[in-house]
Amino acid sequence: MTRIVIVEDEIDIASVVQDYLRHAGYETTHFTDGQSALDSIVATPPDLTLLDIMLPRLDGIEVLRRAREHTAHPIIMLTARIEEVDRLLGLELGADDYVCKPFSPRELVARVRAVLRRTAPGNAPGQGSSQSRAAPCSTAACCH
Amino acid sequence: MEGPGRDFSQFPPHSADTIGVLPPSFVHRRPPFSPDSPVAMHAAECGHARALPMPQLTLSRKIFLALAALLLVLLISFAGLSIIALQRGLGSYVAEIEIRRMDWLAQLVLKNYVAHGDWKNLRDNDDAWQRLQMGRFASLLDSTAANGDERRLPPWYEYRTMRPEPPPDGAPTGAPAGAPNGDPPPMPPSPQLDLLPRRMLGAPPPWVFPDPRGMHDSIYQRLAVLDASGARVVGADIDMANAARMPIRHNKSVIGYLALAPLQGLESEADRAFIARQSGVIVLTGLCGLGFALVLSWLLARRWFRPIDELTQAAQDVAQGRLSTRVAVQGSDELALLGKTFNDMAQRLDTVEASRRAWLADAAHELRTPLAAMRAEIEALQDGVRTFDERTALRLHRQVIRLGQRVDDLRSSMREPQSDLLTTTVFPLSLLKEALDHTRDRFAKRGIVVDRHAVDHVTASAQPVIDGNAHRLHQVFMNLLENTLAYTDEGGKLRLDVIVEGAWTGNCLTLLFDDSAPGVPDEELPRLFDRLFRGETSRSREHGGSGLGLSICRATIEAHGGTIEASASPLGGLRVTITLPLATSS
Repeated sequence: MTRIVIVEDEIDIASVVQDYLRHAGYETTHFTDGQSALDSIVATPPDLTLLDIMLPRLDGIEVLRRAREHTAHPIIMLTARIEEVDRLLGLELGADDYVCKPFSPRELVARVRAVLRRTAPGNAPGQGSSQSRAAPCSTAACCH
Repeated sequence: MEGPGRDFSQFPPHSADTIGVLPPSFVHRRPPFSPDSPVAMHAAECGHARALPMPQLTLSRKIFLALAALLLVLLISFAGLSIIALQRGLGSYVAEIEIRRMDWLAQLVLKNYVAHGDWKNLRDNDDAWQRLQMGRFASLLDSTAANGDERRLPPWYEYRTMRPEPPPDGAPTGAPAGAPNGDPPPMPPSPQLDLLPRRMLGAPPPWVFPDPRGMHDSIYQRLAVLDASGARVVGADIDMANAARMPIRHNKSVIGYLALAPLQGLESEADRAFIARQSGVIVLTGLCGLGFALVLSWLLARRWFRPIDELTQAAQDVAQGRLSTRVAVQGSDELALLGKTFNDMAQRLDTVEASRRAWLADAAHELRTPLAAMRAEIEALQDGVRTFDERTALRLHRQVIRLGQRVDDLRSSMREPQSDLLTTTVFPLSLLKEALDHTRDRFAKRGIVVDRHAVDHVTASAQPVIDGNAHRLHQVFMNLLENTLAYTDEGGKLRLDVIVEGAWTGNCLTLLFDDSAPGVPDEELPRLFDRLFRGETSRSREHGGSGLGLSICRATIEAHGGTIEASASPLGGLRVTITLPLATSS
């Protein structure tokens, strides 16, 4: 079963996203702070991570940077501000996609599916990653 | 022109007059200082029958015109005076030249003076004067033998000798004796040159020496002898002021003058031609200078007023919202000062606008978070991911309440802190106790122990009094307690300390709020009271809070003339120190 880690400090949002992903047939784990999420990701890399940027203890960008030293699994960033998107793109840390808040959970699930399809075991791991990194222009529309 | 005391109210604000005098830039976007007249075009386009065909008189053009007029006046007066001075001065100059040639006469006058010892002989003696003027020939007339030494002959003599005269006796007599320049080159003997001096030895016929003074504009009619004091001895009655003088010296002392009055008016053709030529040169030089000066003044006017053009352009840019516009400031004159002031203003506007934008972005973000949660919840219901139950309603209600709170926070943070600060006598510790009582249940629920011993102790003895606004101070205490409630781990502690300093130590009230873990990293402490700052990376956001509470605290405390500071608490959390000045009466 595909396992997805959700790192989000807004519990209401996280629980809805969790419900959606479970409904779509994924197994989910939820963390509210960056440090414990990073520990879990490094210990047992999941199939995909949804990572918020504004997090207590360790912010999402730092989690992403450190996680990439150990694992290449797909990571979708959740951002609340356009400035964060700029920062994210500028750092080229290797996020596979990003979604702006307030996002539609339906759209988020669709994105999760797409990223997982690209990085499915049949594909070359590097190829899917680079494709998706070039793609995020479509998501910019959700940032108001 | 408005007459004094005219009642403006009787004119509607949008009468044709009012619209007509609006600066054109408010109506039309035109490049500034375009050569065509915006005022005239504006009037034409608005259908006003305004006769304004004049080109726009900008300040630089005005200055240029003023400089041009000044230069023109200067040139005309210079050229005119030069020409007049030339005409006047030429007469004197000619007289000077003329009298330099009269040295032979001066010698004769001197001789006469030396012979007689004074001017008595010559004074008003026209006859003797006349004889002197005839110079050498007068002495020839008197003396029996010609003196051997050669003297220069008077000009009229030379002039006269050129007249061909049939020699009466035609017998050549060897070398010429009276050649004018003493040492002439050898010449073939000519009957005229030979014979004339010979004739002079005898009595010259009247046609040879007509009275020179009878000639038109004769020099002798303008000639006089003056004594050492400048008084006339003999000769023409001339205006001494303008006369050219030649001193007559005897034994190195001036014994008198030979004076020659200038010609009245310029008579000769050559004089007039000379004046005309010189006048032409003066006028031409003046025109060249004028042209050069005009070009220079135009460039100068342009250069001086370029900063104004730039300022106008920059002000229009700022008006259109380009707040990063700055002008280049050169020099240290008034325009440079204006430019600097403009830059300062633009800088300030820019800062205000930037902080407003940042504030709006933060505010939008604050509102977005509860909205995002609500949207996700509702879509989950729509998509059948969740089913509606009591808990869903509770969550949605909580988000709506949160949204409402943030709107309230934003509204109160937008208010100017000092605008509604009604000051009365306030007992701050009573307000603090009230706030503590208000939140007692919630502290108990989170298991946080509140140590308010110091507050109760001070309140029991003597209440400190300050001047301030009770409602706003109550809000400050509530915000601080809410902050502790939101950012202190369960089972923690809040300790309140009160220090009252009397008039001899500072006359202020200090309140300390110490809470237990978690703390705030040192680098975040200074930003704690910034608007919308929230310890995102260190403290849990579970309990909400918009990040406005502490900024409102700072604004209010500062409006009361106090200070508020954040530091690390010995209890492991945050310490907030509030200092308020005590009322002077207490």
